[in-house]
Amino acid sequence: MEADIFKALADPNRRAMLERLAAGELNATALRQGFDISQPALSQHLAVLRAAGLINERREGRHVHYAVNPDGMAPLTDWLARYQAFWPERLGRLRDFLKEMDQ
Amino acid sequence: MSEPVDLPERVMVECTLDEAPDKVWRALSIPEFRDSWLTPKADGEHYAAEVVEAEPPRRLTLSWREGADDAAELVTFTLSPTSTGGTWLRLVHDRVAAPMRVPIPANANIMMLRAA
Repeated sequence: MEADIFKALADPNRRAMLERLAAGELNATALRQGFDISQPALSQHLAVLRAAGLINERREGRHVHYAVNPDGMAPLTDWLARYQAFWPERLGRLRDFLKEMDQ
Repeated sequence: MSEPVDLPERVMVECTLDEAPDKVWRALSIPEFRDSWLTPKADGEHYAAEVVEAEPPRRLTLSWREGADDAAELVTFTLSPTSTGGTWLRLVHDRVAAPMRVPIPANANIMMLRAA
């Protein structure tokens, strides 16, 4: 899941789409405006974002609306919390190691 | 509307050390030294850390993997001498190689993101 998110965010077009959707829900036609990509390419990008859990879709008649999934970033914040604890602990070890080094 | 926030894909830690940059550099750059403080895991395994870029004794970038199949993350150490003969050390860990900013809706649950 975490890997899916980073793969999804690795593409500049998908980042830009996410950025636009962050401002509010849009349908595919509105979202495509300003992007130099085809409708199938857009659909492909949206599918990747959806598979990564970063966006939700809502069907309304013939239209599909897309929006950012606020919980989609949770796996990233798990990583962050882990390493925010990890690095101070390792730097404490480095501090100890330096005292013993060359002795 | 939305405001840009940092995506939680970077951890930065800074500290000062009593030892001079040359000595700290050796503790960071020599693999055997790293194995004694940096890479061991609780279960006896090791994180895979390899030097990607070295500019002694100022900047060292390591590729960082938790497991064999994981994509490489980047850990960069920056060393500067302090006025008292020690080292000011900054560690930046990037989950992906290219950090970015994406706006998150103001009404989204982003407390943890802000805390970053």
